[in-house]
Amino acid sequence: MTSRTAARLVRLYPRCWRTRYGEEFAALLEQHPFSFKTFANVLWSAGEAHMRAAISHERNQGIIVGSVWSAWMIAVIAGLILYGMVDDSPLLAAMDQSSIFAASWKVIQTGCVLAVSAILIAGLPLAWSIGLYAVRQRRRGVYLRLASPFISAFALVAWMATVLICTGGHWAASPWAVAFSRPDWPSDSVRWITGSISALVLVLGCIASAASVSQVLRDSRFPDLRIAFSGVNVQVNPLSFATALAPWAAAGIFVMLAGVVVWGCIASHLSAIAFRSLSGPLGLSGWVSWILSTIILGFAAAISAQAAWRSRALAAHR
Amino acid sequence: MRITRDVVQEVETEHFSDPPLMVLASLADGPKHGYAMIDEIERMSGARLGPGTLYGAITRLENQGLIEALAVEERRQPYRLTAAGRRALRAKLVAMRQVALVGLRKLEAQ
Repeated sequence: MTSRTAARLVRLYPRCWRTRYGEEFAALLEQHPFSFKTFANVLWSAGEAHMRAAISHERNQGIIVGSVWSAWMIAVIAGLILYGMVDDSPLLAAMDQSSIFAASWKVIQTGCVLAVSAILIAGLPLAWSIGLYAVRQRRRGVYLRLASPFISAFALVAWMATVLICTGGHWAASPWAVAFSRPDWPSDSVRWITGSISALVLVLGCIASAASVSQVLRDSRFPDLRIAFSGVNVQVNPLSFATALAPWAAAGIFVMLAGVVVWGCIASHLSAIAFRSLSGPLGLSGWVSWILSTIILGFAAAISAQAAWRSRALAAHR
Repeated sequence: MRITRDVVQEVETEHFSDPPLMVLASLADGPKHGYAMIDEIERMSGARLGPGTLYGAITRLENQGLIEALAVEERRQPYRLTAAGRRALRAKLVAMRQVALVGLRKLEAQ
């Protein structure tokens, strides 16, 4: 059959299969005359490959690591809602006066450090491995998807910088400041519109980062990394390594959630008036922002817990 | 009578079909690429595997570590048995020989 027909038939297979076998399979097909029997055989085999890919070990690992990344992106939104509300607020003084109140904030920070460290330790070898894969396979789509967190962050910073320049350096379009008013700030409507756009860019950026990185993790192949250090050669599969760290990241997000719940309870007890009068993003009250942050973080914790559970089940099944 | 003859003819023309085993057996005497494997399997068993069936078997066997890919030769990918693949093939063929011997002995005893 012609190379064009062969290429079309190869496209019936899942991408991960094509990456490994596509070229040689196309070469084999080109040596066969096209017939209904060959077409039916390839069609059936492609269906089987799709089913196998859906339950393959590597794909499951990719889904687990992708879920942890998505959970972290959701946790970032929850953390920003809370941090933006507390930063530069009267609650900081209250935390200085109460050791329990301050300790609950430290618990949130500890959970954050735990989760970030797990994501960095797992993510750096993974990013390096995916980078190698993308260079070898010349896949621009992978670069683009991996760059999506940076593109999202750049878009947010660029938008806020543009608003700052347009308002003569007075207003940075912070979603947390739209309800306040100062003489040198723009009008209510401008603050609300620009602040809402910032919030939207932030949320969409996090969703895009979660979706695109998860897709790369699910559909890519990860070459083993060989690390030579002081005469010791270690061969690591970065995806397996990252999967093993999923419970660590999930533990971090859970610690954050526990910290947020305890912190909110103490805040509403110790300084109820200050807590309720705080301004969260887009003019939400402190109380509502805390509830929103807790729900979003709970959602992130549930996703990460499921990923951690699956990673343990996968290790046991192996 | 006619029915019996039809059944016998059907059994005689039916090809032994276990693609992963066929692939392992075709590689027993050295590395081969896909097309050579199909020809070898046809010589051994009379069955000509479709390209999809062949690569389904190759994918499974490579994932199980029973065969491994060698360097590509003009877009064609040769494969060879691994040590584990050689052991698995030997074990399977010995078991099949045992079944065949016992089955034939029983038939001849009647």
